[in-house]
Amino acid sequence: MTKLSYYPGCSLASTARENNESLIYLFEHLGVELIELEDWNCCGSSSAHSVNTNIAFDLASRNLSLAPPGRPLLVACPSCLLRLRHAYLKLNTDPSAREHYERTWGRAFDKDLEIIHFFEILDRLDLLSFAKDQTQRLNGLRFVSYYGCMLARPPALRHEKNYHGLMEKIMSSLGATPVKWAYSSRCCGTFLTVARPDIVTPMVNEIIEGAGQVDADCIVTACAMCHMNLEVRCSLKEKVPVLHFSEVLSLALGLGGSKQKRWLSRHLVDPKPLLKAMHLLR
Amino acid sequence: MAEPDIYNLHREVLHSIERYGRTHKLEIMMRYKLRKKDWLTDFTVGLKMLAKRKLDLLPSRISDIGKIKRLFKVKANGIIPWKSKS
Repeated sequence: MTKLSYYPGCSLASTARENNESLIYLFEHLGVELIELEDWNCCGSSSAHSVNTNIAFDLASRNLSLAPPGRPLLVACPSCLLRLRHAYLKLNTDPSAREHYERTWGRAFDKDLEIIHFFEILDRLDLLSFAKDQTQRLNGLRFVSYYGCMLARPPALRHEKNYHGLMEKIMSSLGATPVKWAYSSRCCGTFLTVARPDIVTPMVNEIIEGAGQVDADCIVTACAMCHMNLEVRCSLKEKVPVLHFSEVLSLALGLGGSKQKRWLSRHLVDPKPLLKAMHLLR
Repeated sequence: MAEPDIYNLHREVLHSIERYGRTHKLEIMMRYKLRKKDWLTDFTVGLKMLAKRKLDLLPSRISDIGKIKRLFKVKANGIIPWKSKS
C-alpha cells in the first residue's frame, strides 16, 4: 500500500468530518494509506493571511516542517493547499525565508517535498476498475460540479495545475451525467458567511437556483468550505443536495454501508432520499 | 472602520489559533457573538450544526502550543492592531 502524509486542516477535522472520513476510507480502498501529519496546526487561512502575512507564512511553514522526508504531503482542502504551496514557494525561492524557517523550527527545509491535492491521485487511476463488479453505479445521476474559486490560483501559483473538468471526467467514467451550468467557479462567499450573511445568502441562492434550472439532482463539490456555505446559507424552499466528491465516489465504488449513512446524516440538506432513489444507498 | 464585523471575526479566529493551534469554531462564534451582542442571528443554524455535530464542543489542541504562542508574541506587536503596545 502506498503511504502519503496527510494534512486534513481545521474544516475537515471538524465541520466537514464526513469529508475527511470518506476521503480516508476511499483512499484506503484505492490502496493509498493517508498518514495524518503529527501535531499539524491551522494553515493560516483565511484570517491569518488576511491580517498578518508573517504569521500566515509561519503557520503554514510549521506544517511543512512536520512532513517526514520522502513522502508526498496530500491535502484535501483547496484553501489549505494554497497556503501550504504558497509557503513552500517562498521557502524555495527566498534564502532569507529559508533561514528564518530553519531557525524557527530547528529543521532543514525539504525542497523535495511534494504537496499534492487529492485530485492528482484520482486523476492517475481508473476508478471504475476499483468498483465492486465494475458496475457504473452512478448511471442516471445528473450532477453539476462545483469547484468554487478556491482551486483558482493566486498569481504566484499561476503555473500550478488547473483541475477544472476532473470531477466531470471521473464521475462520467462511473456512469453519472455531468450537466453544464454557469456557476461551477462562482464564489460561495467563504468566510464572509459569518460576518456578512446578507451578502452570502443571495450568492448561494443564485448558485442553488442555477443547479435547479438545469435539473441537476445534486451538486458535487471538492471544497469543504463551499459545501458548508451551500448548505448553511441557502434560504430557498427548493434546496438541492450537496455532496462531497469523496462521498459520492465511495458510493459509486459500492463502499461503506453503515459508514456512508453516518457521513450523510451529517448533512444539513438531506441527500439520502435522492441516493436511495438512485439505489446508491439502502 | 468599514467592516468591523469582518475584522472582529478575524480577530477571534486568530485568538483561537493562538490558544489551540487550530480553530475551534464554536468558541469563535460565541466570542464573536458576545462582542457583537447579537445572539439571534444564525441561532437556528447554530443549533442545527450542533445537532449534526458539525460544531465540536471542545477544541482540538496541538501539543506543541508553545511554538505557536511564541509566533504571536514575536510577530504580533504593532502588526496586529489589538496586540499593539501603543
